[in-house]
Amino acid sequence: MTSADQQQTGSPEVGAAQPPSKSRWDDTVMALIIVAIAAALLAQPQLVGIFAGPAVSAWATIFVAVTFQALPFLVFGVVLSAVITVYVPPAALRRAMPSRPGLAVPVAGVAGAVLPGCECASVPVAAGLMRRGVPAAAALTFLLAAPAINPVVLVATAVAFPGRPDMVIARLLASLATAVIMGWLWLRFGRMEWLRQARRPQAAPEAGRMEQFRVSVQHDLLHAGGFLILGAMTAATLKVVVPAQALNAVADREWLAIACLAGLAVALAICSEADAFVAAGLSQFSHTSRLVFLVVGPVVDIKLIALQIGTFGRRFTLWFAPLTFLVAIACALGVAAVLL
Amino acid sequence: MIASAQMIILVMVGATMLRSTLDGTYLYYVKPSLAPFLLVAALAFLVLGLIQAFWLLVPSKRPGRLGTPSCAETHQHGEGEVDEHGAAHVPRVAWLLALPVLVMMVVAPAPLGSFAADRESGVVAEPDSYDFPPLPPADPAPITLTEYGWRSLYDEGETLAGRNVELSGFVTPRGKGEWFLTRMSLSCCAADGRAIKVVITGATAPPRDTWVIVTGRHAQPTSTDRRSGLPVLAASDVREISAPARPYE
Repeated sequence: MTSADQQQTGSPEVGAAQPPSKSRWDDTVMALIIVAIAAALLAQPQLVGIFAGPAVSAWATIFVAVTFQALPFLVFGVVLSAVITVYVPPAALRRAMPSRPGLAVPVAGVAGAVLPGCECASVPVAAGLMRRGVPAAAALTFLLAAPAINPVVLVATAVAFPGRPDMVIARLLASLATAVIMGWLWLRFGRMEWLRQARRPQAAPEAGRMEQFRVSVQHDLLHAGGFLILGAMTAATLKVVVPAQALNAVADREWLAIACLAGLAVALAICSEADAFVAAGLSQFSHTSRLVFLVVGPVVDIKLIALQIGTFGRRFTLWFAPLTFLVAIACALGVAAVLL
Repeated sequence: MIASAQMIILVMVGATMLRSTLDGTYLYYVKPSLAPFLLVAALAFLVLGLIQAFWLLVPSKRPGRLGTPSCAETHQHGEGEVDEHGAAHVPRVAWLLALPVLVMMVVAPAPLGSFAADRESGVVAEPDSYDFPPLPPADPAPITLTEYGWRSLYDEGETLAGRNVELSGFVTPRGKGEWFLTRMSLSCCAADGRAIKVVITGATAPPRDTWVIVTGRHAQPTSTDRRSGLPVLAASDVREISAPARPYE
């Protein structure tokens, strides 16, 4: 007896039923959304007036843009993660990685080169790898390396900085170093209980792998998608509120420029394929500070932080993100001192 | 989030993306090359939503149905189990996915315009190649603002000398009655839009954000310093046009 009605009313004879507050919340939000849709349709001309304001319009445009740009990559990452979780036998992954975790970290870092796409894809894939028995350190290294050193990003960097192959090599080395150092740090200091690994949604065992796959994709897409929207809202707000002209005053003082571009890389949730062109456009800044921007962006930004909180939990992200930020700056400065 | 809510969110997001891809408004936010990927993502959302709808209507057909725990146990499901409609527990943050749907339902937000352009210097970026072939033979020759900027600042305007060119973009005021012809240029999506600006002389400023075609001849840029100079066009004609389907360069 599995009618939808029964679930919604939480029939009393069921004993330990779904907490009433949860289904009330669901009903309330559903009702609110329906009211909002009705309002959107009925009051559309008036609402259009609100959206015509320049700041609101720019916010809305950037918000939708980040959402549209990121969702395809999220779908890709979630599907790939579900494939790894459901169809790849754990033994296969274990055989592919070196048994010593210390070696698995750099291997995972280099393996990051094969996953093209936004960092939105790398978070669910890393989570999928962890579920399949890949050591957490290696999965985290992969998470940090993939958005930064995949071929699309490197080619984009080469195109954006014509005549400066040293920028491409510097980016590759600094990003790889960041990922590997973070992986080794986790090996040394990390504890599994810091990672909030939610119990995976399981269809009944006899449901078969297709159903498992569907359940996994649906869950991850909604879960990560919600956090992505949070990141998009924040990115749009920051872009509209922070005046770009303020950067010019900062560009001349090197330490200030480095700090400023590092902060900008976090605040602007730009996909790693495009940040090279944004960096190329910041022509008043030195190449060193722009390298910092390129190395920090793919490993720490608003979107990523939101996704990591959603996937691994707040406790983990609260130390992982700032530490990655510092390590990335250090690696970028170190490589820049030698190469640029 | 219960199964029916998940279904609604999935279908709405998919439908929003699909419609935007089909009616061309996606071009206000992302580059044209993203269209096939947007389509695939939209279909993924829609298919997931429709399957969930199917399991809501005909729960007996769902695989694994026979092994599903009774109502009592299902109602207690935490993160691990799937309910009798095949939906797993999803945190509340997923409701935020309704936001872009609601925004797009009211109005597809306009492409980035003078508000965004005001905040940027419009400095010309380095060109892909320093090889500048002669302009097309048409008089006036239509070229992009980016192309104009390159030829003016990186080629000393050699290929532009003595030629009438035609540029299109929107109006951004410069202050003191002067104005820029502007386009936003995307690397990835509208979040990273950069402004491309050309100073227009010899014509009064149309209202802010008006789309125009300007015909004119090359004039000396504001500065020969490539890091700060802006290209200048001495206009002979300014004509208003309707906003193009592809607003970005």
